[in-house]
Amino acid sequence: MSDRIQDLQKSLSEGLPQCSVEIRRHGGVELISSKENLVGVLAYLREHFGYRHLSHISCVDWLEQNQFELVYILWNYESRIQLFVKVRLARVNGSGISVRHLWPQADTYEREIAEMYGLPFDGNENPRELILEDWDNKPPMRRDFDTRAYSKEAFYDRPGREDAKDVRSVISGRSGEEIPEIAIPYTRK
Amino acid sequence: MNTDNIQSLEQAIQFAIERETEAEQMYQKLIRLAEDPKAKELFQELRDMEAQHRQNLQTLDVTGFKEKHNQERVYNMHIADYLIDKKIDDVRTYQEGLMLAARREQMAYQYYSLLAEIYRDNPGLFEFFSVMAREERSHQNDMEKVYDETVFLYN
Amino acid sequence: MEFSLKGMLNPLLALQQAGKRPHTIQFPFEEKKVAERYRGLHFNDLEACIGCGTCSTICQNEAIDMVEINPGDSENAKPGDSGLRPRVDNGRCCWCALCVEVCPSGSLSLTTHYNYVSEDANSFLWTPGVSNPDGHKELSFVSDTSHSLLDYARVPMRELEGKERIKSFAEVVLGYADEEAKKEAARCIGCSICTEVCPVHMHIPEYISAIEHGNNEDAIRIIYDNNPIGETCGKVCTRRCEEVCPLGARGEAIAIRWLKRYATEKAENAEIIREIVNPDIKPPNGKKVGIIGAGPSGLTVAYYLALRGFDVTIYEAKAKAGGMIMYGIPKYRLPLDSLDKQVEYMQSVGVKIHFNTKVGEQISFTEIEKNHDAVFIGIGYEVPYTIGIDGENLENSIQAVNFLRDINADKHVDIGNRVAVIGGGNVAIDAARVSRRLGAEVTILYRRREEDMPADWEEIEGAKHEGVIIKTQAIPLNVVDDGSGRVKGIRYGNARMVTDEKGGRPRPELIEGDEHILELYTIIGAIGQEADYSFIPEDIKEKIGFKSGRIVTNEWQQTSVPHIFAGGDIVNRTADAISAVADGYKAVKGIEQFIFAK
Repeated sequence: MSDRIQDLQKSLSEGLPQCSVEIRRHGGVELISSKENLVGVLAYLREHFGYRHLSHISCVDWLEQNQFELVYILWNYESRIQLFVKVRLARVNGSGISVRHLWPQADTYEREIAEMYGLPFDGNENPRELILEDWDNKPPMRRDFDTRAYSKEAFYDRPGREDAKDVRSVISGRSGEEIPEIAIPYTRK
Repeated sequence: MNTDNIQSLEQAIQFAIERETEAEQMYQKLIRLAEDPKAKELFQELRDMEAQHRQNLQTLDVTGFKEKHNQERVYNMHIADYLIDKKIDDVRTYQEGLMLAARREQMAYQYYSLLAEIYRDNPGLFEFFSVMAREERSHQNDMEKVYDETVFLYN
Repeated sequence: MEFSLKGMLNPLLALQQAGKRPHTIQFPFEEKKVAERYRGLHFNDLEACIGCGTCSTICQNEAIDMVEINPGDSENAKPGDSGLRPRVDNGRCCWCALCVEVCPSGSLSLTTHYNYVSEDANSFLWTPGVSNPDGHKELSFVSDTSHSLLDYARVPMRELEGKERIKSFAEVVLGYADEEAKKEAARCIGCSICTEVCPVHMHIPEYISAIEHGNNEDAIRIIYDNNPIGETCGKVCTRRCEEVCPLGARGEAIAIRWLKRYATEKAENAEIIREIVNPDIKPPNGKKVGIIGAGPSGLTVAYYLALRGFDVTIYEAKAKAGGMIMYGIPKYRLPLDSLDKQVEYMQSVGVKIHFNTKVGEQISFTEIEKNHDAVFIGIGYEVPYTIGIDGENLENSIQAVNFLRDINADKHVDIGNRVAVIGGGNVAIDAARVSRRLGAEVTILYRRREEDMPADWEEIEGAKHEGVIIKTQAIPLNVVDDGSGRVKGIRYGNARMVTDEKGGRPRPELIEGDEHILELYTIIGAIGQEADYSFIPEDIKEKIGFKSGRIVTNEWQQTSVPHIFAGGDIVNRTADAISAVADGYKAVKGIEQFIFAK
């Protein structure tokens, strides 16, 4: 198995010199592409490397680096080696490129990412709503979306939860510790 | 402890009574040195017991505490064996008091054991001195335990 | 009628299905196996759970509450456990399993159990482990320390090499760099379980969070809120806090002490501390408090009373402040300039210290009583117990506390090349490690086993790395004389350990005849210390309660003589700086209450 993965890594590196190809620790192969090359790379993988199936498109929010990362997960039925194709995009005013023409099911994944991350796909404009209805908030899978605040606002507490206690207050109450004002902003909420 | 001059039972008893009286005085001093009420209590108890011993010696009767020490585990830490001999007048600190007491109880134990050995053929006296010896051995044990828990806390 | 063979045989065709799995539902119903890491309903191992509440904090749906299973649980729980346990609102839970990922004890899991039907929506509130006591049989998504959102490994502390260390008195611990400190601080889950076992109840999760966010000045302010010798504690604290850190259950506890050290060292001198802490000093209230002893407890009382407007004076017998932390702790653990800085800062807020003023000699106790509205006694345990065996007074048979004091006061002590230290506490280890630094071969003789040693395990390890030999179950019998009144060696016997049936520590029993002699130049006794109360007048001594050589006080450190307060080693048994600070902090409130209730 590992020999075949190494062979694949070698031939991918030769075939796609503009991409970096790494072996991931649990046996999959990871390929990093630029946005410009992405569609060509995917088509090439599909036609020449037997990656005929698109399992999923996933998205990672690299908030601190101001980037989104799309991860195309491809499957080769013959070699049974999973391939991850990654591409980094600008988080602000960035966009992905639709691959619906290669795999029709990409439509669903692209709609989901557009809805959940607010990342549009060129070639898949104005996709229909997938899960969220009348959403007017920040896309909820973005890391700067405050899930807890939303949850607090959107749902009421079920009756019977009034007896909840705060660990910090229980501990400080028990020991007689007085938490000074300067410390309060740093107390776990 | 100089026992060379002891020639008779009367002398032996007299010598023991003197030592018990000294022991009483020693515990009296320890009660003062120990700032701790629990230790004070222990020393009071021991002081009263030494007074009791004096009476026992006068009547040669130990029926009162014959069975007392049979159950108790006596440790053999040998702490008293190697402690410096202190004289009662030299005792200034609590530690010195404990050292003196542990040594004294040990000597009393040795003395009564010796007498028990001497009167091995006299069942009454043998039993009397054996019980006395056991009693003093148990006091030595108490002292060594106190010493182990206070002075030897870090040792 | 046409005969149809096919029609006759057709029913028999059904037989060909006989060996195949049916498409209909099996009766009795068999549940299908779920995926390996399926995330069903929660289970909590109530014994392993310590109620840190991290599950409740992380839950983005606010589905988890921390509750008492039985009324009073949170009051009755042991230190190290909040007594609370998580309760999940399964109407809000989305089974993301973040709660499991961040559970430090690993008590919380998700099970294979996924169908839960009830007409009563309120029954969705349930307490894992209580509502499904058999849940441990169907665990599926369990927490795993090898890949977790928590970081179980401590950022290692850089230290001098053992061989380097013994060349000088340079500080062994090198301290965290900014990034290391932030990384270590980021591991903290902020639960606050540690604060309860800290004698002072320092605001640990808060100052760690401040460090994590790079706000070291806030961290310093939070530390100085109830500990004026935070930097000392950052270097030498016995840190019971780390023993209960939830991360320690399956990994390494947060390096609370080193983080405190990191933050406090950011204030390089007394002026900077003053600038950062910027304490609110109340105008003088005209009340005077006399403090005997400038050790950790006395300094704490003095500092906080000075901030509250009291006129405080410390009477210190020695030339420098700090008590045992100045004269007892070797400088490779607590450098002199660090302590000077802390004392200087306290003086800058109004603490007056009279050095070289021994109460009972330079000034009488009665005079201090007369001149002050209240008196605090924090004299420490400075009088060593002697080893009590023959030869203890020979030349070069010395006491560890005196030895450490002389070394810290920069005096020369001739210990030669072969040294034995008697005892197993931190003082013994300190004396041994200092002797190594003076170039001697060192053996520690201890009556019990290594696990019985009261010294910190890190100190014991440190001593071993530096080449100190530890002989356990070795009972000193007598000091051997060289014929001219000097130490030639020590005769010791080996011991066996006997359990105490009435509880208590196992006791060493000497094995008779198993005796050895160790040739030596110097013997250092470190078997323990006691206090010297001789300066207290007899009538007051009579009134003050003593227990096992210690002064008895109420919870505000007040003795049975109302205007006399006491703290530190002469009151508590823990023999560490942090307990002394705690005593001092309590005495501040006690003294304030006493003076203003008059």
